Amino acid sequence: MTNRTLNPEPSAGAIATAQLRLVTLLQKRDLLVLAAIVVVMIGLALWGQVRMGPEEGGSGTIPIFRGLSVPLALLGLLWPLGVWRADSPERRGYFWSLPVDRRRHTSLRVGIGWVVLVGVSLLIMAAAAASFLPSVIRFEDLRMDVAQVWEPLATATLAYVIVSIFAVLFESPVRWMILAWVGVLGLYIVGEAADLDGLVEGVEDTVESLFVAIGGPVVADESVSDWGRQYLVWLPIAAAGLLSALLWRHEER
Amino acid sequence: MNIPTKLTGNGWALATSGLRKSYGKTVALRGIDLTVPEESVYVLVGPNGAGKTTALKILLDLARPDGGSAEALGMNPRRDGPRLRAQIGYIPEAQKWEHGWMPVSRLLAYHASYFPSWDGEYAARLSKRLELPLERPYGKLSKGQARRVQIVLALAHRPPLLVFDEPTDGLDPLARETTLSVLAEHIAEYATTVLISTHLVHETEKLADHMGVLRDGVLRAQATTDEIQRSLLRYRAEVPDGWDGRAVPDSGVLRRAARGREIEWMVWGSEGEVRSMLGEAGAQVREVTRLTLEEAAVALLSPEGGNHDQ
Repeated sequence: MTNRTLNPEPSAGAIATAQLRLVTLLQKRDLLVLAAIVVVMIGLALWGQVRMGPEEGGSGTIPIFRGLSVPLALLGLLWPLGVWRADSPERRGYFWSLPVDRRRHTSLRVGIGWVVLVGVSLLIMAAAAASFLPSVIRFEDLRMDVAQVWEPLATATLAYVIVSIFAVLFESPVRWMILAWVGVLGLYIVGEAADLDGLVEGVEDTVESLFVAIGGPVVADESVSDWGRQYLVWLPIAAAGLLSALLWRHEER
Repeated sequence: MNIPTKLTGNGWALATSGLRKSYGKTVALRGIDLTVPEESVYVLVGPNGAGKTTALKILLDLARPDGGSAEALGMNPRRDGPRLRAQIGYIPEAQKWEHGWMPVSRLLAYHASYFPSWDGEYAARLSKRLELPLERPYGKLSKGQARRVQIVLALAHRPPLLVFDEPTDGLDPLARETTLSVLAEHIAEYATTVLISTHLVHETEKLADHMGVLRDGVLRAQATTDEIQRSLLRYRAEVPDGWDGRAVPDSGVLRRAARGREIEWMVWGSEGEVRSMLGEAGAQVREVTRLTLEEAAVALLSPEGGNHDQ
């Protein structure tokens, strides 16, 4: 081959920007609807705060975050459909023809999808909280309990990661959904049947000492449900599953 | 008078060696040695299902071979995948890829972000020339329009290697003419190697300088177009009544057709040798004509055509 200047590969920043733009564009309509709801709810909350004032004897805690775990889990389950909406099954088409390491590219898409999901979940939580605030609390008395935020976010993340494992492995979204439901059911059964307390406590201690080391908040045991604590085990397992699927299925060489 | 299946020389932009690939029980490639010289326009001809698309996909690592090796621009598609794909402008067999929801202008911008060498001005010029409807969603375009979008996507980063799978499929005659002239101008302007897979040889006849003929996963012929047109000729000869056609040896004979007392052969070999072979068999050669590339491809694809001993 004669010497000639080869075309450069894209930079990591350019790829990340392109992927972020793509994922947000793909969800644009959903995000606009969601943003409108958030604006209306916050508007109502402010209006209520001004007009009525807080309810006497409000508890000072935001009451509905945990209740959002189920809808956010559903959102997490469906989210990969949007993240991968534009690409051919198994990405053996346009996505794979681009000059980027496929594992890195796929991980980036999954990661950016997760970041957007977390952002959207936080918005939903904020909107839901805001709409209830006037009746329970003065803004200045607001206390944020990490455990309350942790559970819905962890639920959404776990659902997203489980579906993403199958999205990375298989071509049909129907198959992703069926396998994800089977996976969730399996986790539920294992979680109920197995005695995970020892394992959960071990992970919990590690996480807590890490929190302490970085000066983060310490979560009181009693404020986290059993499921919330088990996520400390399930999330790394699901993440390992996703990583294995990525390494195996999207191997470049 | 063996039909060549290997090119001689060096300086290959692309070379495969004993490339094999099966999909379950279906064998797509049976060990092909494809060699595309640098800055040549190589047309890979074959009927549907011949294995052309598989060969092209292996070069982009979109399919993995079961055996053999492939190399493009000195790189291994599996080992150097991203770096190699940055050097390739690819048009897939499918007229529409993903991102059908994107307006064409956005798709071009998205694609450009993956190719630092993307020339926006050139892309705009090509888009205008090919009359791309920039504001329409890619998925709502006709087959021909979508194909033209893919051509801009493939050319605007000026890759050293173009890999086109049935590039003119779905184009109307006018669009086909425009597309081919855009391609010809691109090749003239930039040092580019082009590998085109097609079953419509006549469309690329003016561009091609090398041709490979693939059938049933076997490369039956591979040579320069000059050599093919020089060596594969049509001989029309008159034969006496009761002439025994078996007197003509099979070697190099690709097609044979009888018209009354006149018989027509398409034979691979030097003209002098073929004339004397036919003369010795009792046939009087009346006319020798060159074949078009399309006719040559058809002859080489015929059941009698090509070598089967690969």
